[in-house]
Amino acid sequence: MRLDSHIDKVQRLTALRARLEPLRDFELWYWASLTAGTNMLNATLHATGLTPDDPVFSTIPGVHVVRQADGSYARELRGPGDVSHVGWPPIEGEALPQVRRLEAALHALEEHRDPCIRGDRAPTPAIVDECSRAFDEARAIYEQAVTAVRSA
Amino acid sequence: MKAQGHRSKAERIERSLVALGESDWEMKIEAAMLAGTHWANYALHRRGVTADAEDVVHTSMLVVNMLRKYSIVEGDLLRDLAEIEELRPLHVRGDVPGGAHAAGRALQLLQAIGERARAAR
Repeated sequence: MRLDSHIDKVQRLTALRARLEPLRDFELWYWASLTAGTNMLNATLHATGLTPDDPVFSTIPGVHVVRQADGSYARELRGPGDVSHVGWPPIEGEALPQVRRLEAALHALEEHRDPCIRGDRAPTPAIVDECSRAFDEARAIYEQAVTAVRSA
Repeated sequence: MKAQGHRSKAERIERSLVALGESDWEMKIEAAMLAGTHWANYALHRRGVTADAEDVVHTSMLVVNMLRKYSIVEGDLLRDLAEIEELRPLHVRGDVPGGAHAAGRALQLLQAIGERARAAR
């Protein structure tokens, strides 16, 4: 997806995240954090030239949804592009240290996905704090990367 | 997870929807997917088709034969859930125009899924 669209999604999802109450609305607060975080990663990957900002949309690794000549959308096999989750697919090869730090922050966030969203682990203030720290770290790296590419 | 746990999660997510506005289409679609999946598991557990340890995560990730098996008892519910899943690449991971309309459709489908699941015995 285009860089500008990732940035738009990050802005709207971050604003929504601030309107949700982390413990009462944990599932959507967490999912807004995760979805914003994945957009931060894709924007950073585009900004640092590791993946192209083609107007195609990720599904499972290697398969993207692409606009067809008749205006419809269809799945196509393609090379690297947006990731649907951090590590899915992994970004191979050399990457800047800040990209790897951003990935690590999102992996820390993802740690809580299955237990708290798909399983029955109750969210706690400590889990909220961990998620918030991971989100803030990811956001700081993303903002630096996007600012750099915009001022280049 | 036990059936009642899925129901509780689905209802928590549905309650949180009140905080979402017109420009929050990604999270409405994702909420429909998350809550709808919990409702699907609730219904399948209640009908005795899946054990507590056999939860569906995404209909698109199911082996064809398992989807066929589950569809014998909850075909309409799983079709509705699959329709929600099809909105995700376009409007959550993509920027196709019409996100707010798609979100409205996702929430309609979630309502239908919840009604079917609550009736599962």
